[in-house]
Amino acid sequence: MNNPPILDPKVRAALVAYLLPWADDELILGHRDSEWTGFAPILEEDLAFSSIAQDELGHAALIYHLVADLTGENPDHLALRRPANAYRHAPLVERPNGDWAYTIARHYLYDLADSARLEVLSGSSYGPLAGIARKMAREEHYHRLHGEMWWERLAAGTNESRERLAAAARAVTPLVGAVLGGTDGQEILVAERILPGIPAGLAADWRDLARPFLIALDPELGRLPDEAPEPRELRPASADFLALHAEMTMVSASGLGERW
Amino acid sequence: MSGAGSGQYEVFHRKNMTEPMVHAGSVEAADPRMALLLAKETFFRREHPIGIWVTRRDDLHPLAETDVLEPGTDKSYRAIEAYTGIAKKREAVEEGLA
Amino acid sequence: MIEHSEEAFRGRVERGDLIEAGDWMPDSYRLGVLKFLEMHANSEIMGALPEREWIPRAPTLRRKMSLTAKVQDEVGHAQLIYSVAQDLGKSREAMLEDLIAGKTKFHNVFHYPTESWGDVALIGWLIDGAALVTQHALLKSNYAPYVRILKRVCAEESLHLKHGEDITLELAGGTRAQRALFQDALNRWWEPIMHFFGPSYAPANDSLLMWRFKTRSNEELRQEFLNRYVPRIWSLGFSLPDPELREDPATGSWRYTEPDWNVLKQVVTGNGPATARRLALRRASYAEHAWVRATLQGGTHAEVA
Repeated sequence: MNNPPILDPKVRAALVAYLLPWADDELILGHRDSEWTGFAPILEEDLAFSSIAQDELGHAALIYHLVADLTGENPDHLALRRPANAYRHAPLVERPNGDWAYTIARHYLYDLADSARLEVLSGSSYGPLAGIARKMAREEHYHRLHGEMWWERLAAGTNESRERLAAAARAVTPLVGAVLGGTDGQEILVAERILPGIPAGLAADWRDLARPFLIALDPELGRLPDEAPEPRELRPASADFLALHAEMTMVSASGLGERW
Repeated sequence: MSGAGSGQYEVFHRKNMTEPMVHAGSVEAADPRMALLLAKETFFRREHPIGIWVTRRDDLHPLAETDVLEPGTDKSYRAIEAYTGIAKKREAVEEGLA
Repeated sequence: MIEHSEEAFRGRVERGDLIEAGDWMPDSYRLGVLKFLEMHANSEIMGALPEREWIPRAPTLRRKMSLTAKVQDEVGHAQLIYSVAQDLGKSREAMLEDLIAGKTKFHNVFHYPTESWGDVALIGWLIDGAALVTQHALLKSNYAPYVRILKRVCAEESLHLKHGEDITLELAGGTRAQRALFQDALNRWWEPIMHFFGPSYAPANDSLLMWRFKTRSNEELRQEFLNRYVPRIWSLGFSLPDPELREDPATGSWRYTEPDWNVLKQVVTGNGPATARRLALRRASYAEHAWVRATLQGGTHAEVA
């Protein structure tokens, strides 16, 4: 976009530190979701889930563009040309897709967290951020309807589907908090009302949304610890992510050309 | 596919508020809720209808005797074209009265 | 009341009637059309496999999304065509099971591996271009349910063609290494493309042509493809690996080295370089999802704990 509102350098740095991990979340989740294209359980679902993957990638693009407007970097370079150790996504999104139950558990529980985040960001004092949050929220509504439909179908389907979903939920639930974890300088963003909600508040919102679905599956799962999520920190790339990153950057970092 | 709710659903959509619901095609789904959500991405990735309906294929009943739909005896009096001569007739009547 | 006989049906066909799903039709028409539709649908679902490998590797965000959308469309075409085929008496499940068991066919081009982003460009431009030539001709088919969905299929395939051309042009106008990627792809894919249209049968031996389900011969379609694309390939400065390939100035038709039709036969009967691997992937996926399919039966509250 042209002429974004001018920000104080400290505020700008804090905003970039907030946006980049989120963009990485959407990119890596979209990347994982797109791996189902051609292999989903039914043809019509293949189409729906592929659109969801494109939505996630589109959200990533919107956020990378926002970062690019703040830093002057190239959005495609931000997305596809950083070294593996420089990505800041939450561990949840890099996990392999697993079975359909794992994919649905991750899809739905992540999207509930994302919905909570988007609702808050739609009221951001930083216009461009509020704008993209509102755009994304509309697509997230479909994601929630879709995720909820599959969650309920697997939970009430057969013994096997219920057990698989419960196992998936047990694996996914502890990792969702990190999606809403605090970033460097976040208190500045809260003070400026660029971020109208604090991490602990968002995490509580997520717990309220997810709890009924988790309890219906297994009462034990509903016992979500009432703690603030751990802050987002740079960590060394995991084996899963090294493999993903190598594939994701295979052509863009090949050196064969700059324009594709 | 067997099962109480599962099977083939026929999908209808409305393009805008002055158009009727139109058939788009069919989807396989377990129930109407799934059929509606999947229909959106099966048929409407490039369009933005303002409404979608689904119904089970079994609940659609085609007319077997399509021959009765063909035109029969002269019903031209139902069409406005039957009165294309009316301007001339008015002229003649007005002239006759003048 | 329409008479139910092969003679009467032939009369309808020769009058130019369109045939509808519930109409009486002789077995040779019904089974021939079903086999054709099944092969088309199979080709769309198998065609998704070579290209989907490059979604994770797409070099820009926009290409990542557009390639996903393109492959999504191919799966969508499979959905549309299986639905039409089903009305001729074979369930989608039976068709998918026969495909992964290797009992039914899919187009030769989807039996080959992809090796680089150059292949993505080529498939999007030339393979989709070839498919569009045949699918566009089929818009004049007399089987109405197929024609109805082909309109959407052709519209989407036309988009894919532009997408593929766009990717190709970036390579063609790019670095030497990028041009080499596309040239290498051309060298590997030219023979499969020539095979794609099939051998030139005498029309009398092509029963779908006789029934007017198809309206143009294999050779006519190949000629249309060559006429449209060879000059464009050459004008981008690329070469094609057939020294005989040229337009005959007297007739306006294209001369080429006759492809080895035994190779085509080998490939479509399951012996292509990537056939076994791709069918194995589909089989594994189908087996893996059996528990999901089980949840789709019986409404919302089947055997819960």
